[in-house]
Amino acid sequence: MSIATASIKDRFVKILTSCDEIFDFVQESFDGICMQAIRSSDECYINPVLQSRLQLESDNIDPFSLVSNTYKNRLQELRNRSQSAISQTKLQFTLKSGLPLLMKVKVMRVVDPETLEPFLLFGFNIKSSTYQVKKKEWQYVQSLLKSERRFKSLVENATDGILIINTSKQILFVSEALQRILGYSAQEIKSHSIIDLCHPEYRHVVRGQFAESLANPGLGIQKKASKWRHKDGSWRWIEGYFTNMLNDTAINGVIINFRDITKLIDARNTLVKRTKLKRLLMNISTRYINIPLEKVESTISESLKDIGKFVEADRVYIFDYDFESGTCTNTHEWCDDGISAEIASNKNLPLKMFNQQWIINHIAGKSNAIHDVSLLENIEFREFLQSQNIKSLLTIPLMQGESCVGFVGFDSVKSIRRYNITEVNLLNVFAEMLVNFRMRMENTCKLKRLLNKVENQNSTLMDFSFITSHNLRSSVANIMGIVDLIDYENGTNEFVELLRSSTDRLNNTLKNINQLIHFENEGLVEPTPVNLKNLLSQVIENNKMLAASQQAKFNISILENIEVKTIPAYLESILHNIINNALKYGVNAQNTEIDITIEKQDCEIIIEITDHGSGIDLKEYGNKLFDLGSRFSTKSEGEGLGLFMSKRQIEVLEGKLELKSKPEKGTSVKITLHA
Amino acid sequence: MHDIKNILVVDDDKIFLVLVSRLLKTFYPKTTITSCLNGHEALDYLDKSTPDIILLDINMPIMNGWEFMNRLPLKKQEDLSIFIVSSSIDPRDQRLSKTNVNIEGFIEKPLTPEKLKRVLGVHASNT
Repeated sequence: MSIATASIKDRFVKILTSCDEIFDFVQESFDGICMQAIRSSDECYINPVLQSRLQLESDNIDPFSLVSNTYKNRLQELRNRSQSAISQTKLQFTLKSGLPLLMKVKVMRVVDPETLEPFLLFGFNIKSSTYQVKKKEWQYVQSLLKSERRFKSLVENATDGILIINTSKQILFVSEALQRILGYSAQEIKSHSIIDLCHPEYRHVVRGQFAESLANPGLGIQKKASKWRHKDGSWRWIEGYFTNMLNDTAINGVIINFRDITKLIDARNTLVKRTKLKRLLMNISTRYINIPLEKVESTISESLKDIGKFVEADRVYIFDYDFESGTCTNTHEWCDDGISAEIASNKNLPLKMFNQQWIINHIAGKSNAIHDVSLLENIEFREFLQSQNIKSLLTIPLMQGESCVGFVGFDSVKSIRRYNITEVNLLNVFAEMLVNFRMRMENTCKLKRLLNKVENQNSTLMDFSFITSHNLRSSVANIMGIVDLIDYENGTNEFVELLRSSTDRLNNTLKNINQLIHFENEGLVEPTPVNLKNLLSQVIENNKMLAASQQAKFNISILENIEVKTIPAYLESILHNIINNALKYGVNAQNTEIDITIEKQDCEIIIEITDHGSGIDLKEYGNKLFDLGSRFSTKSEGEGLGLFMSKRQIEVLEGKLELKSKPEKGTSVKITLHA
Repeated sequence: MHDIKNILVVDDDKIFLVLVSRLLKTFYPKTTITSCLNGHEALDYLDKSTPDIILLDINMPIMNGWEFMNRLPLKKQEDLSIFIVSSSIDPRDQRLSKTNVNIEGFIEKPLTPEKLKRVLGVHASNT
């Protein structure tokens, strides 16, 4: 045999080069070549391309032994026709892996130039060859099945199981994966009617898939999930993919690729549930924002209900710990329909009644879960819980910083309940939210109480200041009257003048203080549009006397019509104070000019008042410029009220007041207002 | 030039009362002055007499100026020239003085000869 085969390969080469016609035949886009002796099909040579395509073990195997039964006639026809001319046809080969391959085949009759022995030369169009299963998945699986070893490893070790059944639903083949997925060995499953393992609610799905598959030979049909009973009794989600291969003689069945998607479905369900719980928590937390104090209690109860409904608890409640008195008290409760309310009796419960570990856990910030109350060893505690029909419970401590202030609890009354870690984590978030909310509300209450107190104090202080100020002024007024009378009756005298000037000053101080008290008491006034040029003129008019005595000169730069919506009295007071200060302290013999500019920049109005006088040492006084009673000059009398008042007023106007100054250079005050 | 006028001063501040009477004696020697230490005394006095002018303080014990005004019959209020003379800095007092039509004016203490002149002058133009 080996001599013969060696010779046939040599002869092939010889024949190939013997005439151009043969050479052309081979060249013509055919890449698989086979030469076979007419007298014996065993005497045969195939080239490596064809050998690998047909998955043959050597180069001298008759390729036509693989031709599918239904194509045998065509092959015979092709052989017959080859007597007269080059002819071609399509042949289907069934490969070792069971895969059907369709190829174009050409044939030509050739003769060995030396021995004149006739041969048939076949050309195979490998590039256009196609597997006869069109569905991608099957192709994918099959393309991997290039060798039996790989086929075996794939089928036996794949997480996906393969099941082949015939039309009468008998199992023809089942892969090892079945054992992993449903717990049955191939042997065990063959004794079952497999559909019995399917959840009754899903049997119609599987039957539907099977029926659809029967109606669509050669095609795969849509994947569907169904629920199946594992050998251990649990339910598993299985996804099945049916491909009808009944037309394939090698298979003659419906192939079902199946895999376990239980984890996937569980994960998806958990995810959906978690998302829902997160959304619920978000809703609750948004509900907690900006609610009026009187609605706090009802909002907390509402959120207990929402969270209770969601986690399917029967009773949700809040307890506050009072470690000083060694008790705890139920403050809020929600009960599902038909569940008894316990809040009334759960007041000032002694902590001794609880398991010691229970309290320790809570103090350490850990939750307490009792899966089955009936198994509790502490009789008192068990009876206490059972008196409320509690079967299972979960309690989560309310932690205010490091200290436990209470707990939120979830009772199961209807049946035993076990919470998973995700639920516990998210309920922890709820507990945190609850604490934050209650803390915030407590703070709000405190703030409100403080505010009331401050308001009361303020009004008392106001009354007090009215009275003292009134009494002081009465006395000052009397002194002033007496001074006038002495003056009139006894004639002017140096001491009377001193007395007069000091009483005048005292009177002035009292007036200023009164003004300040009024300002604090007045509250807000409606803003109205003010023409700045007119306002400035008025302020300058009011300071005319002072300006004249100081020989000051104003350089004013302002557009005709700048208007601003503001509180006129405040702005006038601010301008008055600044200009008055400039006149008093910013003017000396050398520098008598005061520059005032008012301009509009974008959405701001900027008023600048600049003098060139003695200035203020900001390094020394900068931080107390706007303090009540701060004075920076002994040159002229002052109360230290001007800038303090202006600062308060500009704050009400939501503007800015900035002061720049250098000793002996002058002072510049910049007022910025919203246009 | 000035008729004899009767002035009622209602004030609990005795020094003020002395000052007013001295001022009147000095600048308007023909006027007569009566003083009451609170609103209650003033009401009693007004039952029997009708002065031309009332100088009324606000902060007083027993019955203050506003309580006095509430008790004083409207007819009398219209007949009399009532001036508030006060050292009060409570803005409500100033506001009330302005809104009450029967109050001729609010005079801030101290009472000076100029202010006194204004009060008597107003009365002169009224009569």
